[in-house]
Amino acid sequence: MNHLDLDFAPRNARFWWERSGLALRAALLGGALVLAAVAWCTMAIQTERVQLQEALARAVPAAAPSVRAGATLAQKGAYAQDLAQNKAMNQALLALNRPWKLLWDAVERVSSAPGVQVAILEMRPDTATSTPESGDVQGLRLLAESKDSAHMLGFMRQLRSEPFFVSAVLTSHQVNTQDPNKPLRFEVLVQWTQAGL
Amino acid sequence: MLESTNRRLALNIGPQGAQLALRSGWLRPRYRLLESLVWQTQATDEQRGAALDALLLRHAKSGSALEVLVADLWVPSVSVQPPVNGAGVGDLAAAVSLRMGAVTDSGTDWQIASAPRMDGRFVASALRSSLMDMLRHQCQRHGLHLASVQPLFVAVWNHWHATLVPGQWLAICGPSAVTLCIAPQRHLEHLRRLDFTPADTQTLLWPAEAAQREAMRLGLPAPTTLGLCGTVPLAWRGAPGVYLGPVGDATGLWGVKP
Repeated sequence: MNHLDLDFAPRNARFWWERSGLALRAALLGGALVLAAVAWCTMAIQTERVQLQEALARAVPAAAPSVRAGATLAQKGAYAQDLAQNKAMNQALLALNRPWKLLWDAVERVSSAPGVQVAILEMRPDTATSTPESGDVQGLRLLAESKDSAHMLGFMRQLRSEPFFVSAVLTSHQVNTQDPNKPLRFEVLVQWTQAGL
Repeated sequence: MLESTNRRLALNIGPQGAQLALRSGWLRPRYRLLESLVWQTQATDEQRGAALDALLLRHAKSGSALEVLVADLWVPSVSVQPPVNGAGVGDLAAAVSLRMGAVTDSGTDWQIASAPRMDGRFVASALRSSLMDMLRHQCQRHGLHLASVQPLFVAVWNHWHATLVPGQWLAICGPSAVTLCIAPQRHLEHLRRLDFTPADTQTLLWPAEAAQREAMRLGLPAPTTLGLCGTVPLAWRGAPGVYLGPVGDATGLWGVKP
């Protein structure tokens, strides 16, 4: 025989809750617990995943885009482009912040010293040493010409005696045979420190 | 441990008085009588409300749920035939109103409840709105939640329905009347209240004969067995049928415990 649902009580939410049996309440409680457990597991997995990605990115920064799960080719390309742009921007900032006036004065003092006869053709920052990672030491490459090797060596001695520079190294030299005077063209790497400014 | 939880108050209210009990447990609820009241003769709703107020003041705990069982005498009930070609709930409600108008006083406000279905007869009951308002007011006053307000026959039926089979009728015995719950198939379709005299309680076959008469009147087959419950007179217990157990013990309460 069927249950008879005849009741005069107002049918609100509390009415149905009071009529719900032990099984229904236990099912609701169980469902809520399962949902809470699923939510907790999802959060834990997500947190662990983020931590793993951060650890991988720290361990191999350059490879981070390639090891990042799910990264597309476009994302990897964009990441590489960002790196190149950042590097170029840092170089530009370093070039702007270089003490050109002091450098020029130091080079001028050396080249105008008595007995020195060289022509400075080019001055350019040394990109190998002038990086944020190189720390305090900065480099400058000088391209110059002299009549002969004796004048070149005199210039080198004068550079080494200049207190502004911490070192001066002859990196290359060659005779310009196309010139009728056969001048000696050479390149020097000089270095200075920020502390010496 | 579970049996000590799910505590709620149970109020049995009728023309003679009221009883308040504490119900606890989930699977097999237990009732403990807290206090009984007897109304004065010709008591008004206001007087009953005041007595009930004092009763709840002594026993009610704010936030509890209250289940109310109303004596069948206070709840006129009818059997409603759903209208032919009825389209929906509105048609059933109209049929219930029409049928209920024949058994209730038009000068009194009534609240109607039913368990409607489209495919067969069903039972509808009415409760005086003033009584319902009094119950609502008392619950509000004592911070109780009115969990249910049911006629006694509904509670008894819902307790025993699983043990009944089609063709078997249920008879709820009271002090001076028997309420027959008639379910030809699987649904309760008819209710009949039959008064009896003290002499009838000594007649062994009175319940069976009364049931056969009602079956003839309704045009139904006679019941295969008659399940008796409530305060069944001793003489009737030897008659053919099924004795389901008393409606209540000394409290005359709840009626649904075997």
